[in-house]
Amino acid sequence: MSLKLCVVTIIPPLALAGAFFSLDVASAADDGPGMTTSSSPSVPVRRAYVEGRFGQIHLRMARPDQESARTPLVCFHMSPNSGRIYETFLGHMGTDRLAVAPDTPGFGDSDPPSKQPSISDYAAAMTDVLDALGLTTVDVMGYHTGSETCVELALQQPDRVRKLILTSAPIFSDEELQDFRDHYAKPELSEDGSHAAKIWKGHLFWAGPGYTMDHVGVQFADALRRPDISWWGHNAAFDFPMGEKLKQVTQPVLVLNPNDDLVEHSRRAEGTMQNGRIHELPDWGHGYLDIYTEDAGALIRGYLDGEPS
Amino acid sequence: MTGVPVHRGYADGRFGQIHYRIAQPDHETGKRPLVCFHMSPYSGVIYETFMAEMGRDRVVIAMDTPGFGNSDPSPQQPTITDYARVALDLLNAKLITDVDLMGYHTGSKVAVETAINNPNLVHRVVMVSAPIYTPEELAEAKRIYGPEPLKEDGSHVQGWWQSAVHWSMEGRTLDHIGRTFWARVLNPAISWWGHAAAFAYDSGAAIPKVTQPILVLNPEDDVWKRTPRAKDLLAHADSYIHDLPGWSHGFLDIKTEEATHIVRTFLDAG
Repeated sequence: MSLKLCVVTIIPPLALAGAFFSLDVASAADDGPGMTTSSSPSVPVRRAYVEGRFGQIHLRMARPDQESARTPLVCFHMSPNSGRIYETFLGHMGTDRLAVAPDTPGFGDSDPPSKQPSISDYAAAMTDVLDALGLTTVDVMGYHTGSETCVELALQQPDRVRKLILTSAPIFSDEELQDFRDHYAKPELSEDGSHAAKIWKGHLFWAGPGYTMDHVGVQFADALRRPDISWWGHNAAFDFPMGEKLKQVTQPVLVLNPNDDLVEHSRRAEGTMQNGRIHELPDWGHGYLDIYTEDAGALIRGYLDGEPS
Repeated sequence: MTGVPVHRGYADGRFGQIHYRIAQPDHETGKRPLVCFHMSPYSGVIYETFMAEMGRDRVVIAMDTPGFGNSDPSPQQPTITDYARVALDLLNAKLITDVDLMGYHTGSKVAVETAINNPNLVHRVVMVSAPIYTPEELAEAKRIYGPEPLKEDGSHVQGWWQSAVHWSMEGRTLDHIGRTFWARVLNPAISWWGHAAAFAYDSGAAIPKVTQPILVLNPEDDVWKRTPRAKDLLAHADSYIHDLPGWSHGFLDIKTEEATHIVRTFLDAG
Protein backbone atom coordinates (compact mmCIF):
# COMPACT_ATOMS: atom_id res chain seq x y z
CA MET A 1 0.00 0.00 0.00
CA SER A 2 1.38 3.36 -0.91
CA LEU A 3 1.11 6.46 1.19
CA LYS A 4 0.44 9.92 -0.07
CA LEU A 5 1.38 12.94 1.96
CA CYS A 6 -0.45 16.11 1.18
CA VAL A 7 -0.48 19.64 2.49
CA VAL A 8 -3.76 21.47 2.43
CA THR A 9 -3.67 24.93 0.96
CA ILE A 10 -5.17 27.49 3.28
CA ILE A 11 -8.86 27.66 2.53
CA PRO A 12 -11.53 29.78 4.18
CA PRO A 13 -13.52 27.57 6.52
CA LEU A 14 -17.05 26.78 5.52
CA ALA A 15 -19.82 28.02 7.74
CA LEU A 16 -20.13 24.97 9.96
CA ALA A 17 -22.37 24.53 12.96
CA GLY A 18 -19.86 22.21 14.60
CA ALA A 19 -17.22 23.67 16.88
CA PHE A 20 -14.43 21.28 15.97
CA PHE A 21 -13.82 21.98 12.32
CA SER A 22 -11.26 23.97 10.48
CA LEU A 23 -9.54 23.59 7.16
CA ASP A 24 -6.90 26.18 7.76
CA VAL A 25 -3.98 24.10 8.89
CA ALA A 26 -1.47 21.74 7.37
CA SER A 27 -2.69 18.18 7.20
CA ALA A 28 -1.12 14.89 6.36
CA ALA A 29 -2.42 11.77 4.75
CA ASP A 30 -5.58 11.77 2.71
CA ASP A 31 -5.19 8.07 2.96
CA GLY A 32 -2.65 6.06 4.81
CA PRO A 33 -1.08 2.68 4.99
CA GLY A 34 -3.82 0.15 4.93
CA MET A 35 -6.29 2.56 3.43
CA THR A 36 -7.70 2.17 -0.03
CA THR A 37 -5.56 3.94 -2.56
CA SER A 38 -6.19 4.92 -6.13
CA SER A 39 -3.92 6.17 -8.86
CA SER A 40 -6.51 8.73 -9.96
CA PRO A 41 -5.84 12.44 -9.38
CA SER A 42 -7.00 13.35 -5.91
CA VAL A 43 -7.05 15.93 -3.15
CA PRO A 44 -6.98 15.26 0.60
CA VAL A 45 -10.16 14.03 2.25
CA ARG A 46 -10.87 15.52 5.66
CA ARG A 47 -13.39 14.60 8.29
CA ALA A 48 -15.58 16.77 10.49
CA TYR A 49 -18.77 16.93 12.51
CA VAL A 50 -21.77 19.19 12.07
CA GLU A 51 -24.85 19.42 14.23
CA GLY A 52 -28.11 17.88 13.06
CA ARG A 53 -31.54 17.19 14.45
CA PHE A 54 -30.45 13.79 15.83
CA GLY A 55 -27.12 14.97 17.22
CA GLN A 56 -23.69 15.07 15.67
CA ILE A 57 -23.36 14.18 12.00
CA HIS A 58 -19.96 12.97 10.87
CA LEU A 59 -18.84 13.68 7.33
CA ARG A 60 -15.95 13.42 4.93
CA MET A 61 -15.21 16.18 2.48
CA ALA A 62 -12.78 17.09 -0.26
CA ARG A 63 -12.41 20.27 -2.26
CA PRO A 64 -10.05 21.88 -4.75
CA ASP A 65 -7.45 24.46 -3.77
CA GLN A 66 -9.23 27.09 -5.82
CA GLU A 67 -12.84 28.15 -5.47
CA SER A 68 -14.94 26.03 -7.82
CA ALA A 69 -18.03 27.22 -9.67
CA ARG A 70 -19.24 23.66 -10.04
CA THR A 71 -22.22 22.48 -8.04
CA PRO A 72 -21.17 20.65 -4.86
CA LEU A 73 -21.77 16.90 -4.81
CA VAL A 74 -23.18 15.29 -1.66
CA CYS A 75 -23.04 11.48 -1.42
CA PHE A 76 -25.12 9.11 0.70
CA HIS A 77 -23.92 5.61 1.53
CA MET A 78 -25.44 2.15 1.52
CA SER A 79 -26.56 0.21 4.64
CA PRO A 80 -24.87 -0.46 6.95
CA ASN A 81 -21.43 1.03 6.11
CA SER A 82 -20.61 4.73 6.25
CA GLY A 83 -19.32 7.59 4.13
CA ARG A 84 -16.03 5.69 4.11
CA ILE A 85 -17.24 3.92 0.93
CA TYR A 86 -16.82 7.26 -0.86
CA GLU A 87 -13.40 8.15 0.52
CA THR A 88 -11.35 7.40 -2.60
CA PHE A 89 -14.07 8.78 -4.86
CA LEU A 90 -14.38 12.01 -2.84
CA GLY A 91 -10.65 12.59 -3.15
CA HIS A 92 -11.02 12.35 -6.91
CA MET A 93 -14.22 14.36 -7.33
CA GLY A 94 -12.84 16.98 -4.97
CA THR A 95 -10.28 17.99 -7.58
CA ASP A 96 -12.86 20.23 -9.26
CA ARG A 97 -15.76 20.64 -6.83
CA LEU A 98 -16.72 20.33 -3.18
CA ALA A 99 -17.51 16.65 -2.55
CA VAL A 100 -19.09 15.58 0.74
CA ALA A 101 -20.13 12.22 2.18
CA PRO A 102 -22.01 12.31 5.51
CA ASP A 103 -22.51 9.27 7.70
CA THR A 104 -26.24 8.58 7.91
CA PRO A 105 -27.56 9.02 11.49
CA GLY A 106 -26.82 5.81 13.40
CA PHE A 107 -24.00 4.77 11.06
CA GLY A 108 -20.31 5.50 11.03
CA ASP A 109 -19.73 8.20 13.61
CA SER A 110 -23.08 9.97 13.35
CA ASP A 111 -25.40 9.94 16.34
CA PRO A 112 -28.49 7.75 15.90
CA PRO A 113 -32.08 9.00 15.98
CA SER A 114 -33.85 8.27 19.25
CA LYS A 115 -36.20 5.86 17.50
CA GLN A 116 -36.26 3.78 14.34
CA PRO A 117 -36.08 6.25 11.42
CA SER A 118 -37.58 6.42 7.95
CA ILE A 119 -35.91 7.50 4.72
CA SER A 120 -37.75 10.78 5.23
CA ASP A 121 -35.90 11.21 8.54
CA TYR A 122 -32.58 10.49 6.88
CA ALA A 123 -33.33 13.03 4.14
CA ALA A 124 -34.28 15.64 6.73
CA ALA A 125 -31.02 15.01 8.58
CA MET A 126 -29.14 15.44 5.31
CA THR A 127 -30.87 18.81 4.93
CA ASP A 128 -29.24 19.68 8.26
CA VAL A 129 -25.88 18.90 6.66
CA LEU A 130 -26.61 21.14 3.68
CA ASP A 131 -27.68 23.92 6.05
CA ALA A 132 -24.60 23.50 8.22
CA LEU A 133 -22.33 23.67 5.18
CA GLY A 134 -24.25 26.58 3.71
CA LEU A 135 -25.00 24.71 0.49
CA THR A 136 -27.92 26.21 -1.40
CA THR A 137 -27.72 24.07 -4.55
CA VAL A 138 -26.30 20.56 -4.70
CA ASP A 139 -26.05 17.48 -6.84
CA VAL A 140 -26.69 14.32 -4.86
CA MET A 141 -25.38 10.81 -5.27
CA GLY A 142 -26.64 7.73 -3.50
CA TYR A 143 -25.66 4.11 -3.16
CA HIS A 144 -28.50 1.62 -2.50
CA THR A 145 -30.20 2.98 0.68
CA GLY A 146 -28.47 6.26 -0.09
CA SER A 147 -30.23 6.35 -3.47
CA GLU A 148 -33.56 6.40 -1.71
CA THR A 149 -32.34 9.22 0.53
CA CYS A 150 -31.43 11.11 -2.64
CA VAL A 151 -34.90 10.65 -4.09
CA GLU A 152 -36.61 11.73 -0.89
CA LEU A 153 -34.31 14.73 -0.49
CA ALA A 154 -34.96 15.74 -4.11
CA LEU A 155 -38.70 15.71 -3.34
CA GLN A 156 -38.32 17.54 -0.02
CA GLN A 157 -35.95 20.15 -1.47
CA PRO A 158 -36.84 20.51 -5.17
CA ASP A 159 -35.17 23.87 -5.55
CA ARG A 160 -32.02 22.77 -3.81
CA VAL A 161 -31.27 19.44 -5.46
CA ARG A 162 -30.19 19.92 -9.07
CA LYS A 163 -29.32 16.43 -10.38
CA LEU A 164 -29.30 12.90 -8.97
CA ILE A 165 -26.83 10.06 -9.48
CA LEU A 166 -28.20 6.79 -8.10
CA THR A 167 -26.11 3.67 -7.76
CA SER A 168 -29.04 1.31 -8.17
CA ALA A 169 -32.68 2.34 -7.95
CA PRO A 170 -34.28 -0.85 -6.73
CA ILE A 171 -38.00 -1.43 -7.10
CA PHE A 172 -39.02 -4.56 -5.20
CA SER A 173 -41.96 -6.92 -5.47
CA ASP A 174 -43.77 -7.75 -2.23
CA GLU A 175 -42.21 -11.21 -2.18
CA GLU A 176 -38.72 -9.82 -2.68
CA LEU A 177 -39.28 -7.28 0.05
CA GLN A 178 -40.15 -10.00 2.53
CA ASP A 179 -37.04 -11.95 1.58
CA PHE A 180 -34.86 -8.89 1.98
CA ARG A 181 -36.42 -8.01 5.33
CA ASP A 182 -35.71 -11.51 6.59
CA HIS A 183 -32.17 -11.46 5.30
CA TYR A 184 -31.32 -8.05 6.73
CA ALA A 185 -33.07 -8.39 10.08
CA LYS A 186 -31.34 -7.46 13.34
CA PRO A 187 -28.16 -9.55 13.58
CA GLU A 188 -27.88 -11.99 16.47
CA LEU A 189 -24.50 -11.80 18.15
CA SER A 190 -22.91 -15.20 18.72
CA GLU A 191 -20.52 -16.36 21.42
CA ASP A 192 -18.21 -17.88 18.82
CA GLY A 193 -18.10 -14.87 16.49
CA SER A 194 -19.72 -16.72 13.61
CA HIS A 195 -22.01 -13.74 13.03
CA ALA A 196 -18.98 -11.56 12.21
CA ALA A 197 -17.46 -14.19 9.93
CA LYS A 198 -20.79 -14.48 8.13
CA ILE A 199 -20.89 -10.75 7.46
CA TRP A 200 -17.29 -10.88 6.23
CA LYS A 201 -18.09 -13.71 3.82
CA GLY A 202 -21.13 -11.81 2.58
CA HIS A 203 -18.95 -8.82 1.77
CA LEU A 204 -16.48 -11.02 -0.12
CA PHE A 205 -19.29 -12.79 -1.98
CA TRP A 206 -20.60 -9.52 -3.37
CA ALA A 207 -17.19 -7.95 -4.02
CA GLY A 208 -17.07 -6.76 -7.62
CA PRO A 209 -14.26 -7.20 -10.14
CA GLY A 210 -10.89 -6.10 -8.77
CA TYR A 211 -12.19 -5.64 -5.23
CA THR A 212 -9.81 -7.56 -2.96
CA MET A 213 -9.86 -8.76 0.63
CA ASP A 214 -7.74 -5.74 1.51
CA HIS A 215 -10.45 -3.46 0.15
CA VAL A 216 -13.09 -5.34 2.12
CA GLY A 217 -10.87 -5.09 5.18
CA VAL A 218 -10.96 -1.30 4.96
CA GLN A 219 -14.77 -1.11 4.82
CA PHE A 220 -15.83 -4.13 6.86
CA ALA A 221 -15.61 -2.67 10.36
CA ASP A 222 -18.42 -0.22 9.61
CA ALA A 223 -20.80 -3.12 9.04
CA LEU A 224 -20.13 -4.33 12.60
CA ARG A 225 -20.96 -1.05 14.31
CA ARG A 226 -24.01 -0.67 16.53
CA PRO A 227 -25.38 -4.20 15.97
CA ASP A 228 -28.41 -3.20 18.05
CA ILE A 229 -29.54 -0.72 15.40
CA SER A 230 -27.47 -1.46 12.28
CA TRP A 231 -30.57 -2.98 10.68
CA TRP A 232 -32.43 0.35 10.79
CA GLY A 233 -30.97 1.48 7.47
CA HIS A 234 -32.15 -1.53 5.54
CA ASN A 235 -35.49 -1.42 7.30
CA ALA A 236 -36.02 2.20 6.32
CA ALA A 237 -35.03 1.35 2.75
CA PHE A 238 -37.50 -1.52 2.50
CA ASP A 239 -40.30 0.71 3.82
CA PHE A 240 -39.63 3.36 1.17
CA PRO A 241 -41.94 3.19 -1.88
CA MET A 242 -39.14 3.75 -4.38
CA GLY A 243 -41.30 3.19 -7.48
CA GLU A 244 -43.87 5.79 -6.49
CA LYS A 245 -41.32 8.29 -5.25
CA LEU A 246 -39.03 8.02 -8.26
CA LYS A 247 -41.95 8.87 -10.55
CA GLN A 248 -42.42 12.18 -8.75
CA VAL A 249 -38.84 13.39 -9.17
CA THR A 250 -38.64 16.19 -11.72
CA GLN A 251 -34.88 16.68 -11.61
CA PRO A 252 -32.58 14.78 -13.99
CA VAL A 253 -31.69 11.30 -12.71
CA LEU A 254 -28.87 9.04 -13.85
CA VAL A 255 -29.14 5.51 -12.51
CA LEU A 256 -25.84 3.64 -12.51
CA ASN A 257 -26.57 -0.07 -12.58
CA PRO A 258 -23.52 -2.17 -11.77
CA ASN A 259 -23.76 -5.94 -11.75
CA ASP A 260 -24.49 -6.27 -8.05
CA ASP A 261 -27.26 -7.69 -5.88
CA LEU A 262 -29.79 -5.09 -7.09
CA VAL A 263 -29.12 -5.16 -10.82
CA GLU A 264 -32.44 -6.73 -11.81
CA HIS A 265 -34.51 -4.70 -9.36
CA SER A 266 -33.04 -1.46 -10.68
CA ARG A 267 -33.98 -2.20 -14.30
CA ARG A 268 -37.62 -1.84 -13.27
CA ALA A 269 -37.00 1.89 -12.89
CA GLU A 270 -36.71 2.14 -16.67
CA GLY A 271 -39.61 4.16 -18.03
CA THR A 272 -40.82 5.28 -14.60
CA MET A 273 -38.70 8.42 -14.38
CA GLN A 274 -39.85 11.79 -15.71
CA ASN A 275 -36.34 12.84 -16.58
CA GLY A 276 -34.01 9.93 -16.01
CA ARG A 277 -32.20 7.07 -17.62
CA ILE A 278 -30.36 3.93 -16.62
CA HIS A 279 -26.70 3.41 -17.44
CA GLU A 280 -25.83 -0.29 -17.33
CA LEU A 281 -22.41 -1.19 -15.95
CA PRO A 282 -22.19 -4.94 -16.46
CA ASP A 283 -18.44 -5.10 -15.77
CA TRP A 284 -18.59 -3.22 -12.45
CA GLY A 285 -19.78 -4.41 -9.06
CA HIS A 286 -19.50 -3.45 -5.41
CA GLY A 287 -16.30 -1.54 -4.86
CA TYR A 288 -16.33 0.17 -8.23
CA LEU A 289 -15.84 3.55 -6.55
CA ASP A 290 -12.42 2.31 -5.40
CA ILE A 291 -11.50 0.21 -8.44
CA TYR A 292 -12.79 2.39 -11.29
CA THR A 293 -12.53 5.72 -9.52
CA GLU A 294 -11.40 7.75 -12.51
CA ASP A 295 -13.84 6.11 -14.93
CA ALA A 296 -16.68 6.61 -12.49
CA GLY A 297 -15.61 10.21 -12.01
CA ALA A 298 -15.59 10.82 -15.78
CA LEU A 299 -18.99 9.23 -16.19
CA ILE A 300 -20.52 11.23 -13.37
CA ARG A 301 -18.83 14.47 -14.37
CA GLY A 302 -20.13 13.97 -17.89
CA TYR A 303 -23.67 13.79 -16.59
CA LEU A 304 -23.44 16.50 -13.96
CA ASP A 305 -21.48 18.99 -16.02
CA GLY A 306 -22.17 18.03 -19.60
CA GLU A 307 -25.81 17.27 -20.03
CA PRO A 308 -28.28 20.13 -19.76
CA SER A 309 -30.40 20.28 -16.65
CA MET B 1 -26.41 5.78 35.12
CA THR B 2 -26.35 7.83 31.95
CA GLY B 3 -23.90 10.56 32.91
CA VAL B 4 -23.18 13.60 30.77
CA PRO B 5 -23.27 13.56 26.96
CA VAL B 6 -20.18 12.40 25.11
CA HIS B 7 -19.41 14.40 21.99
CA ARG B 8 -16.80 13.82 19.33
CA GLY B 9 -14.47 16.11 17.45
CA TYR B 10 -11.22 16.53 15.56
CA ALA B 11 -8.02 18.42 16.21
CA ASP B 12 -5.00 18.68 13.96
CA GLY B 13 -1.74 17.02 14.84
CA ARG B 14 1.58 16.21 13.27
CA PHE B 15 0.23 13.13 11.47
CA GLY B 16 -3.07 14.65 10.38
CA GLN B 17 -6.44 14.71 12.04
CA ILE B 18 -6.80 13.49 15.63
CA HIS B 19 -10.24 12.20 16.54
CA TYR B 20 -11.39 12.40 20.12
CA ARG B 21 -14.37 12.02 22.41
CA ILE B 22 -15.13 14.64 25.04
CA ALA B 23 -17.44 14.79 28.04
CA GLN B 24 -17.74 17.70 30.43
CA PRO B 25 -20.00 19.20 33.08
CA ASP B 26 -22.16 22.16 32.18
CA HIS B 27 -20.39 24.32 34.75
CA GLU B 28 -16.83 25.11 35.80
CA THR B 29 -15.59 22.79 38.58
CA GLY B 30 -11.96 23.81 38.95
CA LYS B 31 -10.81 20.22 38.48
CA ARG B 32 -8.05 19.32 36.06
CA PRO B 33 -9.05 17.74 32.76
CA LEU B 34 -8.44 14.01 32.35
CA VAL B 35 -7.12 12.75 29.00
CA CYS B 36 -7.40 9.02 28.27
CA PHE B 37 -5.47 6.73 25.91
CA HIS B 38 -6.87 3.40 24.73
CA MET B 39 -5.48 -0.11 24.41
CA SER B 40 -4.41 -1.70 21.12
CA PRO B 41 -6.13 -1.96 18.75
CA TYR B 42 -9.53 -0.38 19.56
CA SER B 43 -10.17 3.35 19.97
CA GLY B 44 -11.40 5.93 22.46
CA VAL B 45 -14.77 4.19 22.22
CA ILE B 46 -13.68 1.96 25.13
CA TYR B 47 -13.96 4.99 27.43
CA GLU B 48 -17.43 6.15 26.36
CA THR B 49 -19.38 4.90 29.38
CA PHE B 50 -16.60 5.76 31.82
CA MET B 51 -16.14 9.31 30.55
CA ALA B 52 -19.85 10.03 30.66
CA GLU B 53 -19.60 9.40 34.41
CA MET B 54 -16.21 11.04 34.98
CA GLY B 55 -17.37 14.01 32.92
CA ARG B 56 -19.83 14.99 35.63
CA ASP B 57 -17.13 16.96 37.44
CA ARG B 58 -14.29 17.52 34.94
CA VAL B 59 -13.46 17.65 31.25
CA VAL B 60 -12.64 14.13 30.06
CA ILE B 61 -11.13 13.52 26.63
CA ALA B 62 -10.37 10.17 25.00
CA MET B 63 -8.06 10.37 22.03
CA ASP B 64 -8.00 7.89 19.15
CA THR B 65 -4.32 6.98 18.77
CA PRO B 66 -2.99 7.74 15.26
CA GLY B 67 -4.00 4.92 12.92
CA PHE B 68 -6.85 3.80 15.19
CA GLY B 69 -10.45 4.87 15.34
CA ASN B 70 -10.81 7.94 13.16
CA SER B 71 -7.35 9.38 13.66
CA ASP B 72 -5.03 9.59 10.69
CA PRO B 73 -2.12 7.16 10.82
CA SER B 74 1.52 8.11 11.06
CA PRO B 75 3.34 7.74 7.73
CA GLN B 76 5.69 5.13 9.19
CA GLN B 77 5.32 2.53 11.91
CA PRO B 78 5.26 4.65 15.08
CA THR B 79 6.74 4.41 18.55
CA ILE B 80 5.14 5.18 21.90
CA THR B 81 7.12 8.43 21.76
CA ASP B 82 5.33 9.31 18.51
CA TYR B 83 1.97 8.63 20.13
CA ALA B 84 2.97 10.79 23.11
CA ARG B 85 3.91 13.63 20.77
CA VAL B 86 0.48 13.45 19.17
CA ALA B 87 -1.08 13.45 22.63
CA LEU B 88 0.76 16.70 23.24
CA ASP B 89 -0.56 18.05 19.93
CA LEU B 90 -4.06 17.34 21.19
CA LEU B 91 -3.42 18.99 24.58
CA ASN B 92 -2.07 22.03 22.78
CA ALA B 93 -4.99 22.12 20.35
CA LYS B 94 -7.41 22.03 23.28
CA LEU B 95 -5.38 24.67 25.16
CA ILE B 96 -4.92 22.37 28.14
CA THR B 97 -2.13 23.53 30.46
CA ASP B 98 -2.70 21.26 33.46
CA VAL B 99 -3.87 17.70 33.00
CA ASP B 100 -4.17 14.22 34.47
CA LEU B 101 -3.67 11.23 32.21
CA MET B 102 -5.13 7.75 32.11
CA GLY B 103 -4.04 4.91 29.87
CA TYR B 104 -5.19 1.37 29.24
CA HIS B 105 -2.48 -1.17 28.32
CA THR B 106 -0.71 0.45 25.31
CA GLY B 107 -2.36 3.68 26.38
CA SER B 108 -0.76 3.45 29.82
CA LYS B 109 2.63 3.58 28.10
CA VAL B 110 1.53 6.64 26.14
CA ALA B 111 0.51 8.22 29.44
CA VAL B 112 3.89 7.41 31.02
CA GLU B 113 5.86 8.81 28.09
CA THR B 114 3.72 11.96 27.99
CA ALA B 115 4.19 12.43 31.74
CA ILE B 116 7.98 12.05 31.49
CA ASN B 117 8.26 14.54 28.65
CA ASN B 118 5.89 17.10 30.19
CA PRO B 119 6.49 17.17 33.96
CA ASN B 120 4.98 20.63 34.37
CA LEU B 121 1.89 19.83 32.35
CA VAL B 122 0.95 16.40 33.68
CA HIS B 123 0.02 16.15 37.36
CA ARG B 124 -1.17 12.60 37.97
CA VAL B 125 -1.22 9.37 35.97
CA VAL B 126 -3.60 6.41 36.07
CA MET B 127 -2.34 3.27 34.38
CA VAL B 128 -4.63 0.34 33.66
CA SER B 129 -1.92 -2.33 33.91
CA ALA B 130 1.82 -1.73 33.89
CA PRO B 131 3.18 -5.01 32.58
CA ILE B 132 6.90 -5.67 32.85
CA TYR B 133 7.90 -8.54 30.58
CA THR B 134 10.73 -11.04 30.70
CA PRO B 135 12.56 -11.39 27.37
CA GLU B 136 10.78 -14.70 26.78
CA GLU B 137 7.35 -13.22 27.49
CA LEU B 138 8.09 -10.29 25.24
CA ALA B 139 9.12 -12.53 22.35
CA GLU B 140 5.94 -14.53 22.77
CA ALA B 141 3.77 -11.37 22.91
CA LYS B 142 5.37 -10.03 19.74
CA ARG B 143 4.67 -13.32 17.99
CA ILE B 144 1.01 -13.39 19.06
CA TYR B 145 0.26 -9.75 18.29
CA GLY B 146 2.11 -9.33 15.00
CA PRO B 147 0.56 -8.75 11.57
CA GLU B 148 -2.24 -11.15 10.75
CA PRO B 149 -3.37 -12.13 7.26
CA LEU B 150 -7.00 -11.64 6.30
CA LYS B 151 -8.73 -14.90 5.50
CA GLU B 152 -11.48 -15.59 3.00
CA ASP B 153 -13.55 -17.53 5.52
CA GLY B 154 -13.48 -14.68 8.04
CA SER B 155 -11.82 -16.86 10.66
CA HIS B 156 -9.47 -14.00 11.52
CA VAL B 157 -12.44 -11.84 12.60
CA GLN B 158 -13.98 -14.77 14.39
CA GLY B 159 -10.73 -15.28 16.30
CA TRP B 160 -10.66 -11.63 17.35
CA TRP B 161 -14.23 -11.86 18.61
CA GLN B 162 -13.52 -15.07 20.55
CA SER B 163 -10.51 -13.41 22.15
CA ALA B 164 -12.66 -10.45 23.20
CA VAL B 165 -15.21 -12.84 24.72
CA HIS B 166 -12.51 -14.89 26.45
CA TRP B 167 -10.90 -11.94 28.21
CA SER B 168 -14.16 -10.23 29.21
CA MET B 169 -15.01 -10.01 32.88
CA GLU B 170 -18.13 -11.55 34.34
CA GLY B 171 -21.15 -9.42 33.55
CA ARG B 172 -19.85 -8.20 30.22
CA THR B 173 -22.37 -9.28 27.61
CA LEU B 174 -22.10 -9.88 23.88
CA ASP B 175 -23.93 -6.57 23.44
CA HIS B 176 -21.18 -4.81 25.40
CA ILE B 177 -18.53 -6.40 23.19
CA GLY B 178 -20.55 -5.54 20.09
CA ARG B 179 -20.44 -1.84 20.97
CA THR B 180 -16.64 -1.67 20.75
CA PHE B 181 -15.58 -4.64 18.61
CA TRP B 182 -15.74 -2.74 15.32
CA ALA B 183 -12.86 -0.59 16.53
CA ARG B 184 -10.79 -3.77 16.90
CA VAL B 185 -11.46 -4.58 13.26
CA LEU B 186 -10.63 -1.20 11.68
CA ASN B 187 -7.55 -0.74 9.48
CA PRO B 188 -6.38 -4.36 9.66
CA ALA B 189 -3.27 -3.66 7.58
CA ILE B 190 -1.80 -1.51 10.35
CA SER B 191 -3.78 -2.41 13.45
CA TRP B 192 -0.76 -4.35 14.79
CA TRP B 193 1.28 -1.14 14.98
CA GLY B 194 -0.07 -0.29 18.42
CA HIS B 195 1.06 -3.55 19.97
CA ALA B 196 4.40 -3.33 18.16
CA ALA B 197 4.98 0.13 19.62
CA ALA B 198 3.99 -1.10 23.08
CA PHE B 199 6.34 -4.09 22.99
CA ALA B 200 9.22 -1.92 21.76
CA TYR B 201 8.77 0.45 24.72
CA ASP B 202 10.91 -0.23 27.76
CA SER B 203 8.45 0.34 30.60
CA GLY B 204 11.02 -0.93 33.09
CA ALA B 205 13.28 1.98 32.23
CA ALA B 206 10.51 4.53 31.72
CA ILE B 207 8.31 4.15 34.79
CA PRO B 208 11.07 5.16 37.29
CA LYS B 209 11.44 8.42 35.37
CA VAL B 210 7.87 9.45 36.12
CA THR B 211 8.07 12.03 38.89
CA GLN B 212 4.32 12.41 39.23
CA PRO B 213 2.12 10.14 41.37
CA ILE B 214 0.94 7.02 39.54
CA LEU B 215 -2.07 4.86 40.32
CA VAL B 216 -1.74 1.45 38.68
CA LEU B 217 -5.04 -0.38 38.37
CA ASN B 218 -4.42 -4.09 38.05
CA PRO B 219 -7.49 -5.99 36.88
CA GLU B 220 -7.30 -9.76 36.52
CA ASP B 221 -6.75 -9.64 32.77
CA ASP B 222 -4.14 -11.01 30.37
CA VAL B 223 -1.26 -9.05 31.94
CA TRP B 224 -2.22 -8.97 35.60
CA LYS B 225 0.59 -11.27 36.75
CA ARG B 226 3.14 -9.02 35.05
CA THR B 227 1.97 -5.72 36.52
CA PRO B 228 3.08 -6.33 40.15
CA ARG B 229 6.66 -6.34 38.84
CA ALA B 230 6.30 -2.57 38.43
CA LYS B 231 5.86 -2.02 42.17
CA ASP B 232 9.48 -1.18 42.89
CA LEU B 233 9.71 1.05 39.82
CA LEU B 234 7.20 3.61 41.07
CA ALA B 235 9.23 6.67 42.03
CA HIS B 236 6.73 8.95 43.75
CA ALA B 237 5.78 8.18 47.35
CA ASP B 238 2.09 8.56 46.52
CA SER B 239 2.22 5.95 43.75
CA TYR B 240 0.70 2.51 44.29
CA ILE B 241 -0.78 -0.54 42.65
CA HIS B 242 -4.47 -1.23 43.22
CA ASP B 243 -5.27 -4.88 42.53
CA LEU B 244 -8.73 -5.53 41.12
CA PRO B 245 -9.31 -9.28 41.40
CA GLY B 246 -12.34 -10.44 39.49
CA TRP B 247 -12.23 -7.44 37.19
CA SER B 248 -11.04 -7.80 33.63
CA HIS B 249 -11.66 -6.28 30.21
CA GLY B 250 -14.93 -4.41 30.11
CA PHE B 251 -14.66 -3.09 33.68
CA LEU B 252 -14.99 0.49 32.43
CA ASP B 253 -18.50 -0.47 31.28
CA ILE B 254 -19.42 -2.97 34.01
CA LYS B 255 -17.84 -1.38 37.07
CA THR B 256 -18.16 2.21 35.92
CA GLU B 257 -19.24 3.67 39.24
CA GLU B 258 -16.59 1.85 41.27
CA ALA B 259 -13.88 2.65 38.71
CA THR B 260 -14.70 6.34 38.60
CA HIS B 261 -14.72 6.45 42.41
CA ILE B 262 -11.24 4.89 42.59
CA VAL B 263 -9.87 7.17 39.87
CA ARG B 264 -11.50 10.32 41.28
CA THR B 265 -10.18 9.61 44.77
CA PHE B 266 -6.64 9.33 43.41
CA LEU B 267 -6.80 12.31 41.05
CA ASP B 268 -8.37 14.64 43.58
CA ALA B 269 -5.87 13.77 46.33
CA GLY B 270 -3.33 16.20 45.01
